[in-house]
Amino acid sequence: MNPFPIAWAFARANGGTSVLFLLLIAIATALGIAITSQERALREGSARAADPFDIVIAAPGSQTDLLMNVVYLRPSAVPLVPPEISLRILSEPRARLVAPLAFGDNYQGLPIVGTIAPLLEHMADGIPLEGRMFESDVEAVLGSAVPHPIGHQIAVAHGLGAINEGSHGSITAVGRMPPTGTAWDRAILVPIEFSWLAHNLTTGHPPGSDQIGPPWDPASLPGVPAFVVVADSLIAAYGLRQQYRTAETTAFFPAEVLVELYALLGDVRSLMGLLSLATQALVVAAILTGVMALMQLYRTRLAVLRALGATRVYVIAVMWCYVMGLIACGALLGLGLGIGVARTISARLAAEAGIPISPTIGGAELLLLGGLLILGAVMALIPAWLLFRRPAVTWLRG
Amino acid sequence: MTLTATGLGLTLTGSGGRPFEVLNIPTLTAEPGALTVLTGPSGSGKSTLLFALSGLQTLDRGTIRWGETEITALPEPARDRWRRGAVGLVFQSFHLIDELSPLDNVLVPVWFGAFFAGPSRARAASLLEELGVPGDRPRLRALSRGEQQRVALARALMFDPPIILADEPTASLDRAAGARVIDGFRKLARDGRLVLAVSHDPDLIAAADHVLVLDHGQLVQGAPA
Amino acid sequence: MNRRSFVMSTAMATLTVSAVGAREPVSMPSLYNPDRSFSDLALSLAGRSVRVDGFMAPPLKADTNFFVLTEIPMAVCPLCETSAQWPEDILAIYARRKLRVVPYSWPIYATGRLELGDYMDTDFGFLSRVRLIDAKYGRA
Repeated sequence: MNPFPIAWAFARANGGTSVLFLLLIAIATALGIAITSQERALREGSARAADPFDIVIAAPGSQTDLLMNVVYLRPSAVPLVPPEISLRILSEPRARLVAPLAFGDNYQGLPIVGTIAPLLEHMADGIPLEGRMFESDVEAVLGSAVPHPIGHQIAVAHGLGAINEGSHGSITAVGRMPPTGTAWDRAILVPIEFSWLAHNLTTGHPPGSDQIGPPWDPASLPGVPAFVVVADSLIAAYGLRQQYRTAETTAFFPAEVLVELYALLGDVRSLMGLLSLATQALVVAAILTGVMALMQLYRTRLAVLRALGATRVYVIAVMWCYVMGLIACGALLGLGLGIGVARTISARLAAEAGIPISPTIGGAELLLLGGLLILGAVMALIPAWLLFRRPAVTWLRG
Repeated sequence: MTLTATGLGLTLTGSGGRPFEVLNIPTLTAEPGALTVLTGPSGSGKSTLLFALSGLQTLDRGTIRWGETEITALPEPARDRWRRGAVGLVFQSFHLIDELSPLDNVLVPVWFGAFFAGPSRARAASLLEELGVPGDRPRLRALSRGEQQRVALARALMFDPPIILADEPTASLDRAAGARVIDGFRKLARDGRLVLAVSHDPDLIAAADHVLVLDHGQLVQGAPA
Repeated sequence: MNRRSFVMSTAMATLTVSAVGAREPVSMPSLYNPDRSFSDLALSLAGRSVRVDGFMAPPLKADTNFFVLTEIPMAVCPLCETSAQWPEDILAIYARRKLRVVPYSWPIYATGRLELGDYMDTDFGFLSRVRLIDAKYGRA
């Protein structure tokens, strides 16, 4: 048996209705797909952006502000950790890496972050730099997304105006980081000595020294805005978090703040979930009403097939192929449309937030699509079933 | 082979809950090689009888046999297959599929049983030619009503059935087109087929070998003695 | 280990093994000997499905299936926070699904396959000693 020529003829018989029905399914599917994949992309993107920064230690203050400063490079004024405590943190034995951070400067809107080479190596995660690492306090490494070439001269601005016209007004880009998926991809990374010097502070080294990075001279260490710490074990990570939650410092996992933000956003997310559920219901309702309407349109044609000797199974197959074809085409079109919508939104969000956000099609979307197809496959049987509640001859008269 | 019906009865509940006898026919036989017309006032049960003889309409009681085969005793799928092979149905409003070409319309019953209709194309084309349907029109709507009815007739003849059943086949045609269809029916009967048409058309009644008159579900004329 | 505690722990191990099906929770300190080596109970349960009760610690990584279960809640109370000695008894939980964070003060259970020995998670860059794999968790 071959129900396809007849099903195809039915589709053409009511081309407008069929296309409308298909588009309705496509749009509802696209909404569901865009919402779920967008929401996940946002979570994954923000989590990836926080990934290299296990523990943040800073002077007591809002952890959310610190997270925005350190992870997303949205600067706001933070108090400094005093030198004697900084020294203790920098020599923490349970840490695999302690990196001091200085932020707040920018070059043409690109944030400038002062830190030490080992943190950048940690972030590069084994991928070699293009060019080389900074080796003096007048050299910089560019984030992968900085639109300037290696060799570019960078005149640093602090807040509103240029600072320190003269010796430290300008630094040279000597290398470029591989993409890390963090907001740091848009940053210019300099030795922290440069940041200290630019603000007329001591450099952590005896006056006149050209050294950058550790070891630090206890007598010359200035205050530090924040530290990124990578612990060497799980226990150490929780231990450090606990140990530096004191009157002088705060310590936290960026992840825990993110999780809180996710929870804060939970209302929005559940609203989105509700919306997505509503669109699914819409699809279901659309299919159902469409199918009912179609049954009215096609009942005489189907009865004729029976009169010509088609079995019930054949007639069911025709109707099923037709409805299923609409649902499948609509769902596929909706998948493409959904990805398109999610990509567009993500691109705008990514530009806003400065972190890569790339929606993908994952299990949730395939589940949604699969569920829709299975539901459709079952519902596509309804018109035939309704038809057979009355004898075929009923539709042949008149 | 003979088409024999015995003790056919169908009673439905009419308005006001009173039982309403649609069909009550003690015996009816129809022989191949003759054109039989079934006529009578509207609502007399003609179409019901026609569809019952095709095995599509189930009745309360009675048996219908085609030769040795008891149609009324067959399970539904077997009855559908029998109808596909042994009965050609023609309708007043043709019931063709507008979106298919005339040729594909003739091939519709082939798709009920086979995935590929290719091997049957030659037969479908020659049937259309025999019935004088222009073969060069890809669209059904380009055909006249008379030509469309002949496409429907070709579809009925696809499997060369011994029985042709027609429901008012000329009612929606003009007289000339009706005449061609009547000629076609006479020819089919002469070839040894059993042709049974429900009709009010005097031309068709005049051309019939036998005329049966049905009223209130009962044969009032032409019942076998 | 003295004779009595050996007998006790063996008996306990046997008991717990037979009670695994009944989801008798295993306590975190009972997985270790006083010298921080794995206890006989821990060794006897390795590779089996066990249930451990505790509290979810603030997550180290967002948007993963990994979290840490602690015996006592990671203090959220400002009075206890500074003085509380961070306990050495923690359990790394690798859940079957992506983490849904529950309030850190809720008692929760986690059931999964017990895995012993140092393991370096290359994704997170963390070393853990004891883990529950393929775990499910929920409010106790």
